[in-house]
Amino acid sequence: MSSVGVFVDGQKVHSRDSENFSVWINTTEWPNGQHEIYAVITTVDTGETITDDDTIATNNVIQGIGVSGSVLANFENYISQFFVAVPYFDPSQGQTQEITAVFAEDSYWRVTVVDYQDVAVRWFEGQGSSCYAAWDGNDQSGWPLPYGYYDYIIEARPSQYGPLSLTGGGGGAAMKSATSSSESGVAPAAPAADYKRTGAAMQFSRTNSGVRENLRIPSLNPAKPPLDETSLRLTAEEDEAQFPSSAEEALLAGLTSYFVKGPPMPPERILTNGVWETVPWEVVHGPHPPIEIQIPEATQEKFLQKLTGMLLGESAEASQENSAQQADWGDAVYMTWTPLRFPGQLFMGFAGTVGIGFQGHHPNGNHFASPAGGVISGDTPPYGPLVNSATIANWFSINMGLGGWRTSFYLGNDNLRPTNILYDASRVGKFASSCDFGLYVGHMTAARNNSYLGATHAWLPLYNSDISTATYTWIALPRFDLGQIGRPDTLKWMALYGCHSLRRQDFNDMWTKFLLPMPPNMRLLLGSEDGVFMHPVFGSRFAANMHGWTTTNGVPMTIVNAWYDAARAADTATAKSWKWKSRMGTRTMTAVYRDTTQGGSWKTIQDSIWGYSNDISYDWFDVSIDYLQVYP
Amino acid sequence: MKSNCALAFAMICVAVQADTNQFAMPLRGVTLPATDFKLVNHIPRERLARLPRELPVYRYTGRACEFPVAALQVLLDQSPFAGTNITDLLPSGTNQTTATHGIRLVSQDRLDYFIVSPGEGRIMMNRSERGRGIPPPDAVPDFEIIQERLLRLARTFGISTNEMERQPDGVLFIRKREGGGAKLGGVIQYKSSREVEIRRAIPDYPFNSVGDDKISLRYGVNDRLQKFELTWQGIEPVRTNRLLGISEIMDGIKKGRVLSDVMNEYPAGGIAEVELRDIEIEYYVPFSPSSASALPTADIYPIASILAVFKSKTGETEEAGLYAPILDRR
Repeated sequence: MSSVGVFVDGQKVHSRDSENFSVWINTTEWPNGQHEIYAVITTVDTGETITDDDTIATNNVIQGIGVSGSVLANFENYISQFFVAVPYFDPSQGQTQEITAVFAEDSYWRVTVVDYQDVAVRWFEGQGSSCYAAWDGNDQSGWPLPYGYYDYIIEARPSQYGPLSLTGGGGGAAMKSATSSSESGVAPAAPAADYKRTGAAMQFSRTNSGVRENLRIPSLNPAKPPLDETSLRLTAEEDEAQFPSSAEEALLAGLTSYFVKGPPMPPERILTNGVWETVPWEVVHGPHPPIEIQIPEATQEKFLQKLTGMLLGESAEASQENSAQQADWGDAVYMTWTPLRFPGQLFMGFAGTVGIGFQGHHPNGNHFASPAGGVISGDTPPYGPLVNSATIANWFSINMGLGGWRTSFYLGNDNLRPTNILYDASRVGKFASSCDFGLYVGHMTAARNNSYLGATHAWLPLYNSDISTATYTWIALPRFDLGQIGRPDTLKWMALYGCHSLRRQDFNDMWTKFLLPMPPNMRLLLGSEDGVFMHPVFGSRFAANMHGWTTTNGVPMTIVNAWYDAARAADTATAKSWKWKSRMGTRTMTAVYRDTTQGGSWKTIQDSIWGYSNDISYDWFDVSIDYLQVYP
Repeated sequence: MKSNCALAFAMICVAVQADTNQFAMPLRGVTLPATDFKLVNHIPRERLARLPRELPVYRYTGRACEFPVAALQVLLDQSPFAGTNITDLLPSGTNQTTATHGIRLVSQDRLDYFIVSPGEGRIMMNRSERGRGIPPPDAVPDFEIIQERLLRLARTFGISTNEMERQPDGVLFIRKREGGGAKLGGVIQYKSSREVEIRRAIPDYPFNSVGDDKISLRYGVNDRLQKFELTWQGIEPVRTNRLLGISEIMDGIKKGRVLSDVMNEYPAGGIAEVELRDIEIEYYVPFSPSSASALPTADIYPIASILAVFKSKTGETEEAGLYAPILDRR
């Protein structure tokens, strides 16, 4: 494994798993002046190793660290020190996002908050040599905006040239459209009620305000030039090192000229031992001498003035300001946007909440009676520990959290109680009311014959080791509380990662008898036709898929595709194990969704956690099942 | 056969005190939950004799793939972006036979896309079915037709059958998957898709797929291409190493250089004895636990995948898988 970190002035600004990549920084996030950029590669060799003395086989992790040479870049921007204060903020908790920046001179400024469609939703204006805005997550009329990714655009115009126009700069168009939509009356949106944007929405292409640097890590990938050229190159480099290579360097050294490398010379053809060879020009003529450049007197004079100012004790800021003034910023609207440097992030609020329940502590052995009607898996009833159920749940929670989805509850083993799942008129189900996305991981099976409900369906055998007379509580899927008509339930998507949790024939039976738990709040019910494998890869992959971390284009998968793909990944990984490789069979996953044959324009099978429409059909006829074989 | 195996058994019984284990396979192997057990080798000798003496270590080249423009145009013509000329998407002056530049076409709702990422060796095309009608029972092309198209596309993209995963009998492992749906409680049932997928294997070692690399093709109703996915970045051997012998592997296991398959179960009475019964070589690509996908810069190296039996003192047994280093880097 290896990672490469890119640092600016010692602060890590990017980290990548790849060796060849391009990254962007927004230079307006730093003060003007010279900055040091370098890269650090870290390698971890986890393969087996043999010690140098060749006697003891060890398996110690070998860590390697390489640091590139520094690239010194001079940042000179009208807007500098662009800063967005917190990684993310949650207005429902009274938090605000603060945005600040410094200008080269007194300016009229505007901070505009734009949504993912570049529509300005809030703006702040003022005059001064710096700006400050504290955004509370509301639009210009004071209505709360939907949670999501927002960008911050700063525009500034030197005040000596007049105020900013309403439509000035690149943000003008967006400002105009915001004004018109505001006038037409934008309806207030409840936080997270209709959040419709993707993680990929933050992939703004407007990052051209930074400098692009190609960083090499010579210490790790040393070039190996031919021997005869190496010595020449070293000589030339040594020569260059003796002379100043820029006007600033020369003036600081008290000189009035500096040297630059000569232009590349064409190769020469020479006859060696009767054979014509093409060799570098330097092999024939020796090192190409650097070219001396005289520094103009005006530049020397400016430098002296600056030096005098510094000696007289002017502050660094004043000196910087003078420097900026010398840069002679003309009449323009200077802009910056899209902070990339930590902690500046673009997310406001949280995207949604997940509720997770899992069990893996079932005892070995067939100690408990099956429910009336029996279960289909008579030979392998849902007993015994599931060592990976907690791992699956944990990785799912971690990865959802990394994408802005908070875990509102996480109930494992004995903490998951029948009351959290089972419908009871006197209380509200935990999954139904406390999350947008529910995931259960653990044992499940299906009814062999009609249960007491008069249908076949999935069973969830909930185990509680606290009870001295330990037994299973068999919970029938139709009895799950996933929401009720007339209740403001939040649950939209429920995933049941257990064996036979949603078979097609059970769907048909439950649908026909109106027993399928698809209340109006529910958009998707995910399950499995067959047994599932509790492979730890499932949880992280499912969440990563939904965030778009596994797709080339960064577009999140639909929830259903993420479900299918994660199951496929888990099955493919399981098939590599000795225990299961010859017993895999075929595996099919299922999803109940709302189709559009009776109305609406959006099939909920197209939902992603980042994008969905509420123009859906609530007609029972549109409650349909989709299935996909995922293995082999 | 049974008697041959019996004769071939090499009995090595040793008490094991494992030490620190830093051999890691995230999401595949975990530390063995026992350090003091008897280690017994019952791997048939002929199985051991069949193991190669040395094997190469591979690595993704990181070089951009060169995708034939004509093949991309064929895919584009079947995509939701049909009518687009592929050459209009490439910088002028680009070689007209191969494309090394990325292409990204995404519909406004992001459900359809055509992405070419030569740097990752990846092509993804997706079409989302938005129709409102109820599809006919089965208007999806047969697997045989899709398989033939997939193999033809694979050839076009320069993928030979030598790089494709095979089943133990040597036949190409062609994964076929069917999708469908039901409405009105099963009154209406239909097929919605058929997909054929071939996963990548290391040349000369084709019985295990490598990472997530694959080529797959999915068709929907009325022969509409729903999805094409190619992930097949170039790999190259970076070195060849001697493989450890069984006694060296067992020495390693004694020292704790072993991992237990994450899918293993354990005897309730603990592990008093580990009996090795079979061994295979698998090429392993380290995983990123966060994205649960292969790390593109890591070595792809052989490991020993061992069938074992855990035995408790009271005689309980569990069949299990172990992973151990097999590469000698001297």
